[in-house]
Amino acid sequence: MKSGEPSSKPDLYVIARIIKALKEKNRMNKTALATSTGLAYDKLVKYLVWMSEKGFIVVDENGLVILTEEGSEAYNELVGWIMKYVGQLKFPRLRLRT
Amino acid sequence: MKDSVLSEESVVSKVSELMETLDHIKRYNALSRSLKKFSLIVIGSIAVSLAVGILFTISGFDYTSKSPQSFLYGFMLLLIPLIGLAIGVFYVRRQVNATKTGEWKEKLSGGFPSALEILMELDWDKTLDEISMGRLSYTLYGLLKTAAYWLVTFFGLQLVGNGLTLYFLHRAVFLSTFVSVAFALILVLLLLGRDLLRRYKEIHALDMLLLELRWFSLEIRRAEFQA
Repeated sequence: MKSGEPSSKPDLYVIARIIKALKEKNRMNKTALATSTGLAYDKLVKYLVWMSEKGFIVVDENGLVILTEEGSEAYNELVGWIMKYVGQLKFPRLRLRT
Repeated sequence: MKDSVLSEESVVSKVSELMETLDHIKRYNALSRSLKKFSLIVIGSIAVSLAVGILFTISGFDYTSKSPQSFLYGFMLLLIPLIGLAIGVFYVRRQVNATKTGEWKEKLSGGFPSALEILMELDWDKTLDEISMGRLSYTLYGLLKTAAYWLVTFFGLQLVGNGLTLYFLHRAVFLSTFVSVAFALILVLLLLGRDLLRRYKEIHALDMLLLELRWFSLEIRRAEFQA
């Protein structure tokens, strides 16, 4: 997935970054979205194709990317899933003594 | 929506805790890297002290005799490993304090996606190895430090005990070697007891952390976006 081919197994954090940007701005054109997420334009387009196939986004006739209800739910599920696991971790209070 | 934001903040906060813990592990590994030099400094200083002792004997100075001068020579011989131990501990402390930490803080300011990126991009195998190695080094360092304290206390006891016995009782031998060794051990355990207990607890905590992170790393590596 590092080569920018989201068709097999996309980087979760890249998708999360795209969805978060769309959640904040509601709809955005691809260039603004690429800038906002810090992704190269061609990489972003590949991700958008993948996300569109999954129904997370739609691109309207003006070329604006819009987050769907499904996309928003998938993001919330991801946050919940990560929280479920990371929330169970208990970190010890470490204080190294020399 | 509000719940989602709260969860996002909780994830970021948990990842921040994780990274802070891993920063601590970095310090343990700095300790691991300096362990070899620490041992060399302490063993070297003991060797120098022994060599000086042999030199004294060859040169005709009897530092084991009853005179105050010999007591002074004995004290000088004790001072060498004591200085070695202090330099060793200082060296370890400097290496540990020089460890770079908190580089992840800026990245984490990007919120949930950045927290997720940190979790996904972390080299878990390396991290788990580092925790394991840090745990081992911390144990070794604790044992080495205790042994060094023990040795210095033993020499100190012999010297001070013999000096006092000589001064007040006009006898040369204060305690037998076996009793001195045992007494020195009791003294060191009394002195470092709490420190050793804390170390034990910390090592146990690292064991538990290792188990939890091993499980967590398997889960996070399996993660995929389910549509």
